[in-house]
Order: sequence, then structure tokens, then C-alpha cells
Amino acid sequence: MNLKDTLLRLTNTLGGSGKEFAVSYLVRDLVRAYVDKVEIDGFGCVIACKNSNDPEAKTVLLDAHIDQMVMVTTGITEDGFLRFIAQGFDPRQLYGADVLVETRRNGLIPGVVNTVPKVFNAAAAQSTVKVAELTVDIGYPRERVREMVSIGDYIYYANDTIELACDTVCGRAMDDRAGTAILLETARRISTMDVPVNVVFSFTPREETGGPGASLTGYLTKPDMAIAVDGSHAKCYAYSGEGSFDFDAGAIIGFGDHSYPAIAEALIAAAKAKNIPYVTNLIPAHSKTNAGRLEYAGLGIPTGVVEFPMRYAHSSVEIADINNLAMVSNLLTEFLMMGGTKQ
Amino acid sequence: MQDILALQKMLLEAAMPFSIEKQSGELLAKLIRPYVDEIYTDNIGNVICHKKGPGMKLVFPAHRDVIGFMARNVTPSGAVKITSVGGHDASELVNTPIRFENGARGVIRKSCPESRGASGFGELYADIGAVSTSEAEKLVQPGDMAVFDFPCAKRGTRIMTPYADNLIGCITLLLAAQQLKECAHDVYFIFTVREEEGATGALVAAWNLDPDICIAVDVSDALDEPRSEQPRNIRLGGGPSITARDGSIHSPAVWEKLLDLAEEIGIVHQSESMPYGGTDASSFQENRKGAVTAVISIPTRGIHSPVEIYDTADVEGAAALIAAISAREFPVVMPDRRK
Repeated sequence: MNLKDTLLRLTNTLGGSGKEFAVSYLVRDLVRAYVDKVEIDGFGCVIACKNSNDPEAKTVLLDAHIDQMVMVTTGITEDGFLRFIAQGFDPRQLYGADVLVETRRNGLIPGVVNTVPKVFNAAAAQSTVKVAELTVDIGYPRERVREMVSIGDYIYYANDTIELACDTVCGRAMDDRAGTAILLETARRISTMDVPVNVVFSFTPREETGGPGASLTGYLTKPDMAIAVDGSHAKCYAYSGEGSFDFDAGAIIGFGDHSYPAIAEALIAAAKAKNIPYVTNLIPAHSKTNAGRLEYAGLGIPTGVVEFPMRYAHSSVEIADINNLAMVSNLLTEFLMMGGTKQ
Repeated sequence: MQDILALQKMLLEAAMPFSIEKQSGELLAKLIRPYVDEIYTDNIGNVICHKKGPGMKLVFPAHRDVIGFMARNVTPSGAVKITSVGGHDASELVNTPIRFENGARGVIRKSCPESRGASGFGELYADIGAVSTSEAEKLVQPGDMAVFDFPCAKRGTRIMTPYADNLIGCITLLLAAQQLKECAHDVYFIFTVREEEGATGALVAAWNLDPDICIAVDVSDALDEPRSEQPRNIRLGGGPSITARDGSIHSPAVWEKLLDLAEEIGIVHQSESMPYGGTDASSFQENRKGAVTAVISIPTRGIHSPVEIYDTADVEGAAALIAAISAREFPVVMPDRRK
């Protein structure tokens, strides 16, 4: 399957932090043909290994997280509306949004987030809305809501991914299904190559909540080095300042926190060797990727950070460029073929 | 079944903040001994009570440390400056009676009484009624710990007491152990230390035991007091609360199984999710291979205040649920087995 189709399938599968199993199964099925071994643990971590022919080979772990941001039902009002928490979400986009409630017993139930008719609320309509003022309306009469929905059920934006012009795609969860697609593409490319390192692909749950996924895969697989692949901010109309990158920048290679100089330099050497476009991202503290977890997993792992540019992070309309994702995969493939770092 | 009020009173006398949990550990070990196969204390002080069985390694941590106060120094006027151990709200502590570890009693006062409340511990001190500085120094040394000095009372099924958090979790484990005959799993009841200091006691237990499943037992906010707006529906007497997520997310697979099990055996229960808070479970899910986790909570009003209130029916429900989990095949779906 090509990169775009893979990404469409991945983004159209729901997997909120903690409940990523549907994505775990999909990833397992997609990666199986390319690797020697693939396993899923009790958290839904998918660990896929491709071994080198060299018995002395070092092990490189590539990480992408498979979870997506999610809202969680916290209560049901007397009138039968769902209260929820929405950590990391922008309530301005939630206002009036189409959503899906993933229930324990009753499948996916469509709903909408409430609005307040402007005629009643002219002053408030001009100010910022708060999540506490929002509920999800699933249409059921109040007495049936409690049998349909459990407190703790997850709520997602309902929109599927759409294809925009010039090989760009737009939808929920590009962060980090696009990274997941990059890893799958990399696995496909190296599947027929004689790679001088053992490669562990770690498809990791629970990154968005700062959860333990990467700590566990790092501990279990004990790699010699690890690279987190995640989304970074692309410039857009409203913001093009510090911390944002050109949409077609290529690979974004992290320097600083969670980036070991030898790994960052080896990534740059790989980019130069194959003329792959790249920019450097200077991270004085906290890369906000799984590298921060991998670094102190087990007995400690030297880490690097590779990101792709993406517009409108943490919204329902994240946009990624397929060609740019392919370039990141090129870089990772070359990094592996060069044997990672020599140290 | 032992009387919950009697257990609460016994534990209340022994409970102390982190680093001096020895007395409560010995008491709990004595109480649970007839019902488990072996008991030992690990290097950091967790009391680990093992009931052997086949199947997966299943741990139930409940912390036995409590929040409290530490004496810093005695001022020339005989006042004992204090600081917070664990999460206190300084503005609510003025005129609260406290008891130091050696039995000395005192009350928290504020150094500028003209305004209400206190903005921080800098303004607070303990008056232990000493007639001189030298007498105060004999009673309290810098570093001495103190706890709320409030009695425990029962009305109907409700108990008002300091330190429901988390002596009631420990009591729940005791009651569960008493009901448990045969285990379907290799079960550990753990009375942990240092939870209020960031669940570091549980980290040590997690590293040593590396279990498959961890179900922490703790308290969670009951939100049934009169307020204008209630974000959640948790209430006293509504049964133990089964947490889908708090500050960290737990494992939905386990959460769903617990809800199913509670429904099947007819235990009245509540489901809960909230954006904040943490328990020993977070330490277990991050360590080594990671345990899949869940939290069973006793709904409690006024957590971390001197008078917390809970309902004994919720405790009994939680204990019955824990006993059922331990005694039955509880096939937590490990995804690869669901090909």
C-alpha cells in the first residue's frame, strides 16, 4: 500500500490515548510482511523487529505514537447531555462540532457539541468559549442516555480525512499517524535491503497524555539508540514565527534536549549523502516527543528527534504533505543503512 | 466482617506521614496476617501481603501514609513553625488541632490574625501551649511530624474522620482479604508508603514485583455537596467508583472488565473520569514492562481536609469487588490473544 493510502487508513481508524487497540491491530497487519517479528503488549504497543544478518549489529529503535488526542465523558447532566474533558483541545473549534462517542456497549454514537443561539448570548458570542460551557448532545431522550453512554467513554471529532490538492491530506490525528505511516514506509523500504543494524519499530500508545508507552517499549527492547518521529508546526497564515517551519521543509532534525549530538549529526550526514532536504530544530528543553521518555527507559537510551511539518496541530484539520513524509522516510532509511551512529 | 469504624479508629492512631509509616505498617500486617500466605516489608517500607495463586500477577496497592505537617523550628516566643507534608490548602488550616508524633498536641494559628485565612505556610505556626521556649523545644524537635488531631465519628452508614485518604483504602484491602478463599491469580495486597510524596513507595514495589495488572485502591472526590454546577456525578453511597482516567489514563480493557464484573455480580458501582489526580497505579504502569492498571475509589467528601466523609456501603462494595476479581478468572484482554 502506498504512503497516502496507508495514512488515510490510519487516520480514519479511531485510537484515543489509552484505547488504541484498533490502530494497534491495523499497524500490526500492515507491518507484518516487512519484519521478522511483531508483537502487541497489554497496552497496545506494537513492537516490530527486523534483524540484521550481522550478529554484532547494534539495535536502532524508531518510535512513532499511534494514539490521538481524545475527549472523555465525565458526567451526564440531568437533561441527558454529556459533560466531558478536552485536554489539549481548542474549545473554539469544539463549539458546534460533529463528534462521535465511542461507547462500551453500543458502538459509535454520533453527536454534536452544543452552541448557544447568538440571539440569547450576543455578548458571550464574542468572547472565548470554555469547555465547561460545552456538552455533547447525542439526541437520545434523557432517560436513555445513561444506558447508551458510560462515564469514561471517549469522544472524537467525527470528520474523516480528506485529500486536498498536491498530495496533501487533512484530518484528525495526522499527529502522529503520519509518523506511523513514515515508519511503515521505512519498514517497507528496508524489508528487501541488507541493513547493518537491527531495527525495532515501536508504535507507541499514550504519548498525548504523557503516558508510559515509550518507557515500556524502550525497557523491553533495550536498543542502542532511539529516534522519535513526530509532527512539528508548519508555518500557516496566522503564524509563521519562532517554532514553525516551512511546509515543504523536508525532515526537521532536533538539536538540544533529547537529541544526542552524535545521533543528530549522523542524521544530518544521512540527509546530505542523499540530498534530502532538512532543517534543524533547536530544542533548548523538552522536545515534547517520546524521546523524552525513551531517554531514561531501562538503563537509558541515547535518543534523537525527527519531525515532519504539519499545519494546525491538535485540531481536526491537521494537514500533512505526503511528499514531505516520504522525504522523512528517505532520511530514516539512509540513517539505518549507514548503521546509525558509529559510537 | 470487622467493623469499619473500629478499624478506622485503630488506624487513625497509628497513621503518620511519609518516613514514619512503621507503626501503621505493623498494625496492618497484624490485621491481615490470618488471611494471606506471606508478609514482608520491602526496603522502602511497603508492607507486601502475598496470597498465592495461579494465573496473572495481580497487585492491589493502597497507600498508608497520610498528609501532615513537619516542625521547622521553635521561635523565641515558643511558637513552632511548621511546613506542609503533602497537599494542604494553607488558607483552610487556621485553628486546626494537630498532634505530633510523640503525642504533643497543638493547634495551628496564624501570625497576623487581623486578616482571614493564610496565604501560605510562612504565616502559620503551631501553638503547643508551652510556657517557655525551652519547654517547647523539649516537646517538639525540628523535623518532627504532626497530623490532624480530630476524632472519628459514625452516623448511619457515614463515617467522618481525618485521613479517610487513604486509611479507607487499607481497610478495603483488609476486608477483601478476609473474604478471599481461593485465588485465581497470584495476588498481592500492598500497603504502600510515600504516596502523598509522589507515589515513590509504589515505584519501588513496581520495580520489585513487575506485575501484570495493578488495581490501586484510593479515595476520589464525591461531588454531591450543594454547589451550583457539578462537573461529575460521583456521590457517597453510590458504590465504589471505577476510574477510567485521572491524571494518568488507566487501561480501558481493565476498566470495562471491572464494570462488567460489577454488573454481573450485582455490586452497585459508579464510573468516573476526571482530568486530575493520581494514585499508586501510575507508578506501576510506568515501570519495567508496565502493568495494565485500574483504580477503584471510595467516594469521599472533603479530601485532604481534617474531616473527610465516606459511606461504609461503598467500602463494602469495593471489598467485595476486589475479592471477586481475585477469586475469578478475569481475562483481561491482552490484544494478541484476540487475533
